[in-house]
Amino acid sequence: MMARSFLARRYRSDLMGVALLAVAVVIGGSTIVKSYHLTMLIYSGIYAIAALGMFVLFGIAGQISIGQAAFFGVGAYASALAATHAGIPPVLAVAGSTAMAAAFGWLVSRPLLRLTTNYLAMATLAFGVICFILFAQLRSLTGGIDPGIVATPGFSVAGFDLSSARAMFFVVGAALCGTILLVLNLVHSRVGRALRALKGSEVATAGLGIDVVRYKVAAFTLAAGLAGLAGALFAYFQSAFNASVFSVGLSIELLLMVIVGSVSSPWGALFGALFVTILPTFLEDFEQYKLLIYGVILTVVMIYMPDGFGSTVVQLGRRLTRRTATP
Amino acid sequence: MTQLLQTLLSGLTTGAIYGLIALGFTIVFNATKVTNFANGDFVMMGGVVCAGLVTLAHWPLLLAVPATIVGVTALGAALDVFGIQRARRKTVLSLAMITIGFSVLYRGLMQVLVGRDVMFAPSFGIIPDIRTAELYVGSQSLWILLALGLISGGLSYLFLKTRLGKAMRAASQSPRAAALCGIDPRLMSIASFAMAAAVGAIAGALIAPIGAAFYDYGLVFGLKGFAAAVLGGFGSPVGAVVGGLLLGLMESISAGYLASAYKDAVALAILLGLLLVWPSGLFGRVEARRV
Repeated sequence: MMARSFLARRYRSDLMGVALLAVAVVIGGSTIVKSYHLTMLIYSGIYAIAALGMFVLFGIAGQISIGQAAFFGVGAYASALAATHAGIPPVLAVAGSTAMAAAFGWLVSRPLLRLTTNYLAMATLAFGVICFILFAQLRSLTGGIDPGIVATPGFSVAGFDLSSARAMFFVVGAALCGTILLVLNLVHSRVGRALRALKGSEVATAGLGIDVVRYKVAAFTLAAGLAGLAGALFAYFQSAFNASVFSVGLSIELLLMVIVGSVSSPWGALFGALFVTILPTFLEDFEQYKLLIYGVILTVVMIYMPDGFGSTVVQLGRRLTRRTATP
Repeated sequence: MTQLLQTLLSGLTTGAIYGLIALGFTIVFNATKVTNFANGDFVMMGGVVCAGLVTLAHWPLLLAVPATIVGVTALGAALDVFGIQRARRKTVLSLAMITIGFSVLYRGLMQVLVGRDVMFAPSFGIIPDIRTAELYVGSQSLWILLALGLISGGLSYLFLKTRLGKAMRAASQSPRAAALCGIDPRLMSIASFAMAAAVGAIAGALIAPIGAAFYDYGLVFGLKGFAAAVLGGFGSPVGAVVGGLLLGLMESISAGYLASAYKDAVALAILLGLLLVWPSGLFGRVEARRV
């Protein structure tokens, strides 16, 4: 048998990671007692799904979007409306709204991705603000800021009621495992390598015969779809929400999650989502200082650790252990 | 007819503010090739600090405005000294991300220092309102138009005639060649951020009495100023002013036909359309050829 290559070993350890995550979800779901802890972890999981999409787009393909909240919102509103008005079964509603957000992403990515770097950032920012204004103003559809969407029916599969926090924990956990499996396979595939090449140099990638536009559009569509999936799960879990959730603040938080985690490993997005979600619980009076703290984190990480906080810490740890192992 | 004229006049006033914000983008971009996402927050801080000093600390306006300009200028210089110049990786995107971080930081800082209330500053006064049978031009609008004239005149004098301006232009064209001539490119970079912050602070202090001052307004100011800069041709100072005035006019005309809630969306849709269809803007190509 041939010795496994570095990449194959890496893929195997990543798959082990997914298995560990699944075990952790099962153990956590059956042992965590406080519903507050469950709720925090559910939100972390939901944001992690959207952050994984952001990771594919920003971390791998090197394309920035500060408008992800728009797709999160499309997913949330689509599933909430499908459940309340059309009475579509939740699983179908979640799948449908994910597809809808992805389709929306595909549609806007065609023109938007003609832009690069700071122009793309500004354009997606403008797009996000326009969508936020529409969410807040199309009151007949979305309920706007007040009252917003009230009382989405609970999640259920084939008649089984899964609306409790514990059941939602398993639902979100399963969705998260599925998402990270998808993203890992993408990272380790030809597409992932093409996207990473694209981040390095678009011209060189095109020179290798890779259809740059198609791959960029695919990454953007996937990111939008995952944001939509997260939004749909959010709608079912939160049950009542208004347009203020989908402001630019959410887009920046998703970006923050990837940056706090890692721009080179999908596991960073999980860490980042957990970090950004539970950070407020450690600080009293967090709302007052939230933006200041986020701003400091964003600037410090971007200045000193452009590869992401998590991956820098991991690299540092590896270097230290290696030094002590071979003195 | 008078109705239309009145609409156009109010459009010119907001347009002048957009022009000032666009000038901030232009100054920083020309000197450093950085798109400063915190530029709108300079304007926000100008309004919030000025209104805060007057209403919360009860300073006289004559003292509050200069203090605001000095304070915001220092914060703008800090963005360059502690952010841009320390960056480990100086790609366009990572520098832009640092300015995004500072934008969030500025908002948080204002929220902590001044609070989360919408504030109103008193208008500057001194210049009387112009009131004829058909027309009304507020004193503050005249201040704003006057400021746009003075600042754009002053900046063109600075860049065309003074040593500092010439040094800044030289450093932007070729940092290395400028350094060989004894110009410190880093100093020029600080100067550009400080000047953009000062212009933003003036714009913010001027608009606060008409609109309002709030820690979260920087985003929209920034996007509209960027739209104005793109409309005029990104990097062109003349284009920034013309683009700002045009954008203000378009916005005020469209406000007559659309619900006011969609007013912000119009300017942003114009920005998206411009970026996709006409990224060179009015004076963009001319400027590119000159360089």
